[in-house]
Amino acid sequence: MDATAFNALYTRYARFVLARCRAVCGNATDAEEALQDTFIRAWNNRDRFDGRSPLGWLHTLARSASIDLLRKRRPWNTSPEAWDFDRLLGADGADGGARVDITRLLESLDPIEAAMLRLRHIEDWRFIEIAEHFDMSERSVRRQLAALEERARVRLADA
Amino acid sequence: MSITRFDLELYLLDELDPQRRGEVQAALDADPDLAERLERLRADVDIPVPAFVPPPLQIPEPANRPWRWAMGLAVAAAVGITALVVLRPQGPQMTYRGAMELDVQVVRNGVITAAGSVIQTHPGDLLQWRVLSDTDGHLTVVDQQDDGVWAVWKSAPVTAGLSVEGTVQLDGYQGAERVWFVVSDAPLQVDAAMLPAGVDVATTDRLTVDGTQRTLLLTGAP
Repeated sequence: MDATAFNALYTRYARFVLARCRAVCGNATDAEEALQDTFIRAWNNRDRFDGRSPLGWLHTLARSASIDLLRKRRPWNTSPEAWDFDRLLGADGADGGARVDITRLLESLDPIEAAMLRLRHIEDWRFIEIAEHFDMSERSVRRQLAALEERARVRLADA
Repeated sequence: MSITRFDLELYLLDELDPQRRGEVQAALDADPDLAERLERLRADVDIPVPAFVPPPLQIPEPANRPWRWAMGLAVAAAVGITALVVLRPQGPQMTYRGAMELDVQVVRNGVITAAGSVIQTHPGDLLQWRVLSDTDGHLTVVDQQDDGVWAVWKSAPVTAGLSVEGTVQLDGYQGAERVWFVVSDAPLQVDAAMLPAGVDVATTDRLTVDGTQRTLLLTGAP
């Protein structure tokens, strides 16, 4: 793939990759950094790309780039602005105590768990879509999210 | 039948095969929730995208990339056969020797941008290029302005699988100019190869020479 073809790839697909990065990372700045990182990975590996399913290939690279970025960002940005607590907790659970505790919960998560939680409860993705994004089975995603939600319930009950 | 976000993305890009597109369309027609998801996705991807800043070009180290030789030979064989079968009868009497990869970047105010085959230039731009040939030969990089003035940017032997790169600072020429990258068996006889006076470099993208060639068109910013 030469520079012209690579430019065309970027022009066609970057906005789709950026939208996913934003869903996973939760803010525009990190999403743009993940987007750049995705296409740098694509550029560096362009000789290995077989030409089939460019968007699928880019999403695979974006998944790694986003998670690597989230890992680098520890501790999380667990502010209400980043996480939209009202949506995460529901209107009834969004009092101060619950927010403090959900913040602690978020801080204890690993990047993939945090991203899964965000995609499910804030971005409103379906289980199968989260599974597809992380290359996992839908069953595993359901199980992991159920475990995370149980941890959240326990914390909120104790708060 | 499950329709995922990826299906919807491909739907928006019009990249689904006809059967899958039909399935997705039927599901969209029948399921308002899915149709709403599609509209949300459409809004999600309707966003400004920052320019891509590629990393600087790097010359591959031959010791670390021995596979290049095998790949180069395979590509040379494949492209050579294709060129002989497909290209030769259609074009002028030229020899297609093999494949050549050309990467070009423009550095403007410290920002590196991958470039296509037509580049609008500004005074002071740096043009970085890298050529990777899958055959041994001689690389000539030559620039010709639309006033007929030409200059050789590079003339050097090339080895299959090893890239050659260079950087040129552009002088802000306001007209059109064309750059050719030619890999030939012997050094190019440039004065015989260049376009005669009166030929439009903007619309003439091939030199009548033996060898593999790639070209760029540079146009001065208004």
